[in-house]
Amino acid sequence: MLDGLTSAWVRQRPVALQAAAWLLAVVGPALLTVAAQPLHSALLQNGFLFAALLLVIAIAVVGGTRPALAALVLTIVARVFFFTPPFITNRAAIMPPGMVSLIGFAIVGVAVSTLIASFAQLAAEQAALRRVATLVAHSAPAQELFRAAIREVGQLSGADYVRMCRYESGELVGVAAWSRTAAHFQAGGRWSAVLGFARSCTPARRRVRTADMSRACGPLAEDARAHGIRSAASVPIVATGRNWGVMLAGSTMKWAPPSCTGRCLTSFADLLGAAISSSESRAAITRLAEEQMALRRVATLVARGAPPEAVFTAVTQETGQLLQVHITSMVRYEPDGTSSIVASWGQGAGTNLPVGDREPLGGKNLVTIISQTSSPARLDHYDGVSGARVERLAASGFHAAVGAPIMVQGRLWGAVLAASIDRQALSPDAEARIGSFTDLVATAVSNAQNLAELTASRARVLAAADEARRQIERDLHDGAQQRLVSLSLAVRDAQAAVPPRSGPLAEELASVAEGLASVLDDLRELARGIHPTVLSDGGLGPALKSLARRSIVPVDLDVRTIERLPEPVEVAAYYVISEALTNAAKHSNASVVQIGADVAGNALHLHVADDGDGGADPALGSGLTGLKDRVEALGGTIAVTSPAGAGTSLDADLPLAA
Amino acid sequence: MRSAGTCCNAGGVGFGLVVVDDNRSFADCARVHLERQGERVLGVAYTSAEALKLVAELRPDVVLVDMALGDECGLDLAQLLAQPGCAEAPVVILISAYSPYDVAELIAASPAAGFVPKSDLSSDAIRQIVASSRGAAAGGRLAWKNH
Repeated sequence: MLDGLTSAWVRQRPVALQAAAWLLAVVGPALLTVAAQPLHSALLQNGFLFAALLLVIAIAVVGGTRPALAALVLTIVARVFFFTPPFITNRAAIMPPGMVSLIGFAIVGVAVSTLIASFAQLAAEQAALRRVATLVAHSAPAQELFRAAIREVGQLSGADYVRMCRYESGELVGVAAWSRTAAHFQAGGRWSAVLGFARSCTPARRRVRTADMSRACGPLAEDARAHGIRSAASVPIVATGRNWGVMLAGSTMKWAPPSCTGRCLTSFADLLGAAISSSESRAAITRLAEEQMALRRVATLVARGAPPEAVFTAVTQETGQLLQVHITSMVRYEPDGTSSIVASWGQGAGTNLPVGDREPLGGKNLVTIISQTSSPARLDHYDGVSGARVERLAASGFHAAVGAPIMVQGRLWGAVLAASIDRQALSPDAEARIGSFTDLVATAVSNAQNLAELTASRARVLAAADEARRQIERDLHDGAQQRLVSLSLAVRDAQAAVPPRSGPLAEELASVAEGLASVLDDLRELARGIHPTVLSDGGLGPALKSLARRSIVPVDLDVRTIERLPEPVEVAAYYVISEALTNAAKHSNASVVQIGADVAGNALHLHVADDGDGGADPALGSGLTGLKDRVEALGGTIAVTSPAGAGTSLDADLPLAA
Repeated sequence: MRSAGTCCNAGGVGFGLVVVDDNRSFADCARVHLERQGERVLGVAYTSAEALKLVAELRPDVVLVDMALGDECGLDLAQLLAQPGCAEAPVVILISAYSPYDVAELIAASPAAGFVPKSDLSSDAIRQIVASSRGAAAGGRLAWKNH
């Protein structure tokens, strides 16, 4: 309690209040003495002491401990001297000072004024803490919060200098500074935190440290000494369980800082620590939310079956923005021992790595390291790196990089890499954050591969079926059909050999010949349904002409392709047109069907349009579903539009190269 | 001398024929059938190579070519044999077990003089085609002379 009395660091009150308190301390006892002069009774003398006590309390409230004590001393002096001769002539009024009441008055006065001063200090502290806590509650920017906190600490503790620093990789980094006299303290700055009175300590051993600046060592102490600081106190700021930083209060006076300064420092350090913890966890949550949103965007792309290239581009962009790096890229490991860039993203033009760029593996670079380890890797500096790409990046001012592998079905497929100009930007969890995206890339690649395999397998199944039908048709033609043809010639010969007017025999032979012809016709019909020979022998042009010739609805045919196309394409195109013509004949009431076939851009484009009723449901026809399967198996597309009353049109694209 | 002979044949004795078909039983059957109808079948070839050799040796008036020559294509052989505008070229007639309905577009695209379904193979059918072919050829030559 007496610290408050002896302290060099008393709470600083406004100068006017201070002056008023001192004035009252001098004038008050004098006025009381003059007023009490005519009073003679002991009762009234005690009343005088009571009034003086009230005065002392009032002064303590207004001006603190020191003027109150001054008033106390003055009152006692006045009581001892002015109420004894020669000042008092009236003997009856002469009374020996009641020693007991005087001592009691002194003790009570000292106690009350100190208590009041302490309460006032506490109240001021609470008010200051509340102001800072309000800032915290309103999520004020960190700088504003720090500045407000150290200003309050400075004003409460009477320090001349308050500084707040953050520990950062073994260094103290100034974040805010306050000075009573002038703002000649730089808020920023870096000092070693290994040595000196502000060195880092474990959060568990947190306590206020005081130091005599003339003996303190460390670069921060030197800095403080240079500014005339002779004593200082420091307290660690602990946030989320670790030593976040330190708050220092210094004075130009040599006395050790009092406990109220320590308490004040501790309270504010606690408040700031809590604020920093909550803002860090808020930042962590925000970061997590952003990451989740980015992942969701990419996952949506993957789920929609977007082309892998679109997923690659999205991943490089999202990782670049999340990690706040300057450039990201995705490479694929090629079977020939090179890596090729499949997507890249950069914050500035000219830093982009061009897509398609190939480079052999080897040298000291992340792409090579990941290819050897199939694990995430990082390069904290670009010293001694080799390889064309990384050397180009190093020349552009890049410092550090991090990357994670893309594993597709257990095998290394590629990698996502991020490079930064600023070393600090690569957070320790960067690999893990890239890793959550590479899983999505792997899924996209795997899906695309599965889809390609499925498509290829469908195409193989269809090709095998087509080949089987072709073979059956051929066997029919070469076997049964040929023998029937030979037989019918033989029957003709027999007919010719029968003598005229041989009656029933000639008739029998004629009926056999007729039967043979009919069987041949049936067989041809059957063979045609199995596989159109005109297609395999003549190609799409003659085959479409044949379809057009046989169509019930007149056909306006425009075939611009005369060369032979890959057999699966010819067969698919034939069936597409055949089905369209069958549908037109059955349902459309069309008067003409236009058919176009044209090869352009390495694809066969088919167009069928009739002038019929339209209104066909593209999903209904099972024939159309079969066509869709057939076309899609070749990697093609087919679309039917059939607005009511406006005819039906079909468009199909069949890529020539699978 | 050859062309003169060809001209004389148009009268009635019978054409010199070569049958080209990979299906031996039919080729033999056709030979018998046509010979019974009074045609002279000079030879039977089962492959394109044989056919070219026979045609060069025997100089037939008419070559019957099967459209489906096994793994080879009768249409290609027809293209080789029928040289439009060359007087010495034989009349090439496509034959097939298919109906003309099925292969109309292929026949139309071929330089062959005509098509006879195998089931309808007869001397008369051949003569009809030869006659119309000669008529067209003569008309063509006349038109050329008038230039």
